[in-house]
Amino acid sequence: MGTKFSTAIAKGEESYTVGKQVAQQALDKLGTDKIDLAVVYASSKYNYNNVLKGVKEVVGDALLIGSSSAGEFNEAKADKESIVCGLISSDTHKFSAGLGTGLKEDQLEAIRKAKASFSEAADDFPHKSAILHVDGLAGNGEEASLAALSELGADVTLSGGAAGDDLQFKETKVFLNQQAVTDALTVCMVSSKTPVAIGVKHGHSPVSEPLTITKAKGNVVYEVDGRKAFDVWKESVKEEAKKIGVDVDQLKTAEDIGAFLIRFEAGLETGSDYKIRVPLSINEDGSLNFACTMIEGSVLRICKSPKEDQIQSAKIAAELALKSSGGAKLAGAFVFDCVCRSLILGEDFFEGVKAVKNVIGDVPIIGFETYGEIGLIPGQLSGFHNTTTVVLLIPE
Amino acid sequence: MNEPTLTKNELVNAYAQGIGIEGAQKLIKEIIDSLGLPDKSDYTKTEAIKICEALKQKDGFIKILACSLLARVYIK
Repeated sequence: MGTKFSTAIAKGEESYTVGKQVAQQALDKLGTDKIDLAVVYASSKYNYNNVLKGVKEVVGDALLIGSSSAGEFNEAKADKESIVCGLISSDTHKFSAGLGTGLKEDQLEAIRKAKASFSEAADDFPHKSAILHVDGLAGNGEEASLAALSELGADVTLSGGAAGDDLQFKETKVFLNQQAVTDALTVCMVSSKTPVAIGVKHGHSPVSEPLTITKAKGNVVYEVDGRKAFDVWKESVKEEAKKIGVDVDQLKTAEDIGAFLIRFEAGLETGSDYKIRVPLSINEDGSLNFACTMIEGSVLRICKSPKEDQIQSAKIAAELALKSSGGAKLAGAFVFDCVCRSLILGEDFFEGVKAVKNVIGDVPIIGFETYGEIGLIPGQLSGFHNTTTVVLLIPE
Repeated sequence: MNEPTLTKNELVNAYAQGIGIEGAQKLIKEIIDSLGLPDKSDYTKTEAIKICEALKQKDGFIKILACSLLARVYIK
């Protein structure tokens, strides 16, 4: 049989009904009643427990993973306030998953708790990869990724995303079977006969001079080059912002400022590329709140994020994954795409998905808009990304 | 005799992936200085363990990455 993969996307008013409906639509396409893994990404519009109950009604005892989201898509469309479901039936991949709670307090312990639920895969499934979903508001996606690397082993590839909640920033949840849990992560271990493949790429390029973080604590950057961070940000990209119709002296509302910051994110030079870190908002003192920890002494360059580069980066992520797959025939793909990319691309967001499709061919895709993307291959020591596309290819 | 097991470049590059090269250089320099170790290109296993243990005293991903690095040092 190999591996079969199907997806469906639906929206409606009643959580249980939409959950059941979307799972049934995916099952109708799967071509078999044997389901090994169900994946669900659901907008915060829905009651997650009822969604999962509806999905479970269709998929029965199949393992279910997923999370709340800030936008959902499959190979056919991208939508908001919807639910996307993917189903996998396979005799070439084996899936095992666990839930780790207490993510904010201890990421290593959360991974250990999740790992305790794994079942042993047979020797003829030698390739290991983990799909990681984390509470997107826990603020420690990098720590969770590295904890997974530490606990699961350096030969395990990682992909996944941080749960969203439609930019409400109130509560995000990860799913395991019928549980929807906050302050938690789930790890789905994929043991494969043919390895899965991962590609990661962002679409940002530097526009500012090098700037040094001179005062920071946790996720907050107070000063850059000895001055208020937001003042430096505005001055450094004033001319670039003009080119896209933004007058930095007229940024008044939190929405305007948030939209501006997403178009001009921080790039930390890592040698061969830039690690993108997104400033999400400002504080009254002119400091900037980032999506993850920032370190004093780091030198950043503010980057621009043109629409066309976001589409191109999705294409490159798919190309990198495809190259890594070594020509294996594909059953389907997961795409973890940052909600910031959706804000930049607006109605053109699906163009990025199309760019992925153009590379990997006509196979099912399940994806969601995240609060951070996870992508790490052996040898790397940082797996959490912002405003980036992560493509996970599942071979037949 | 302790053979070199960890280079300064390996340490900097490990942290550079998450916090950038300059941030990583500053972090590693601070740790090496705080331990009273000389600034050099190669560290012995004993020195490397001290550096990783000191990094483990930091918060967040610095600590977690130090755990991974420490495991590598012990394996070497």
